[in-house]
Amino acid sequence: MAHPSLIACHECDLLQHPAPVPPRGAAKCARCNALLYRVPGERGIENAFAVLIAALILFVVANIYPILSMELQGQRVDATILGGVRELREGGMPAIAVIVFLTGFLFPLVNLLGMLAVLLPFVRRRRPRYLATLLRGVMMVRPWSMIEVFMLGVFVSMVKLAHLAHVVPGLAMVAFVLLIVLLASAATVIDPHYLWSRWETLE
Amino acid sequence: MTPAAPTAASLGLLSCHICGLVSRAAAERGAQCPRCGAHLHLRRPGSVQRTWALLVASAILFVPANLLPIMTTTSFLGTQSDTIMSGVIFLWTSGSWPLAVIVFVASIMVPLLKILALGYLLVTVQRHSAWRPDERIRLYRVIELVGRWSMLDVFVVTLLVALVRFSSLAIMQPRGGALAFAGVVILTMFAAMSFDPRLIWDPVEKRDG
Repeated sequence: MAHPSLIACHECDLLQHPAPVPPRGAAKCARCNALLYRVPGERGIENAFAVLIAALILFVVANIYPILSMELQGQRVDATILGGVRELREGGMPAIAVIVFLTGFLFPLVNLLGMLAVLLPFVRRRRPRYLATLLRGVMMVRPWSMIEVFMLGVFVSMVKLAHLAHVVPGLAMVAFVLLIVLLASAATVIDPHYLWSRWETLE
Repeated sequence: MTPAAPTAASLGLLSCHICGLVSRAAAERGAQCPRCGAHLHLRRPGSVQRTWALLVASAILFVPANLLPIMTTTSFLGTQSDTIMSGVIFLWTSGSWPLAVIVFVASIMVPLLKILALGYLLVTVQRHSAWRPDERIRLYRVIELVGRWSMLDVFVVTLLVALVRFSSLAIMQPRGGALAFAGVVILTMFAAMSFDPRLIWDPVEKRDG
């Protein structure tokens, strides 16, 4: 027996009636102040979908072009995430190579594609068939997608190498910063409560 | 928000962790969400035991993560081993003290405080403490939020190795400390995820009747 008119806080289990929330608003738990759900603005899903397409293009750019380049005695070395992964593997650290590959490349990509797959049926005004599976996947992958941590690592590396050689940021650095901003703005639409309430209205 | 009743659990209701739908449990075991089909649980099963196990494992790994070198640099000056702490000291002495502080906080403070804070939360939950649940839930939220930033040094090692390895000035190689360190970050993240924050609030309801 389901009670769609009730909501239980996922952090303290307090049962409450969902209050009407204006567009771009959020509902908080009356007891523990946890975020219960968010309601995006008008056409929020369509906007987020467009933002994610742009993010996908940036993701490609961020992984093709170098993040950092080092120049030394006329020699130039470029660093990309996948290049770094290869160096780690060949340098005898396959386990770290796997961790960096997953958190810096695969999980961010799965997160991006997963969000697109979640939103696509809503954009086409069809009832999604695999919403539960896709949402679960996106929620599971999100904390392990660490490109913003990676970016901080890029800044630290630049400083550490500055005394050794001339290090310049590459095009991928710009792409990464934009990508982080776009992903953060699109992620606010991936709200289970909101998406499932939309799911109820579609056929 | 108007509280309709104390908690879902006290009324025999289950909330789905995937889609949020509140439903009455048909049976204690093997309940399924009527909307999305996820398995329903009153509380995450074995939450306290699992969190303890992951926490103890990460506390043990924390020792080699800080003592073993994460990287060695071989140049015409000789071979130099770097631990997490010596990397912080290097940043500090070379004048980049804001970055030194960031790396120190992300790599040493955060994992250590995270292990201690989760241990504290587990002890209070096991003692059915109803003391300041609002502050303890805030502590839990901070733990969940900052944990992933500790991966910073693993990425730094990757980039340094990728850039310097083939140049003529030095050879940089990753070392076991980096793997132990990544292990600490991953285990503490799993520990925070397996902890059920609703356990903090359960004794409060009992106390208030």
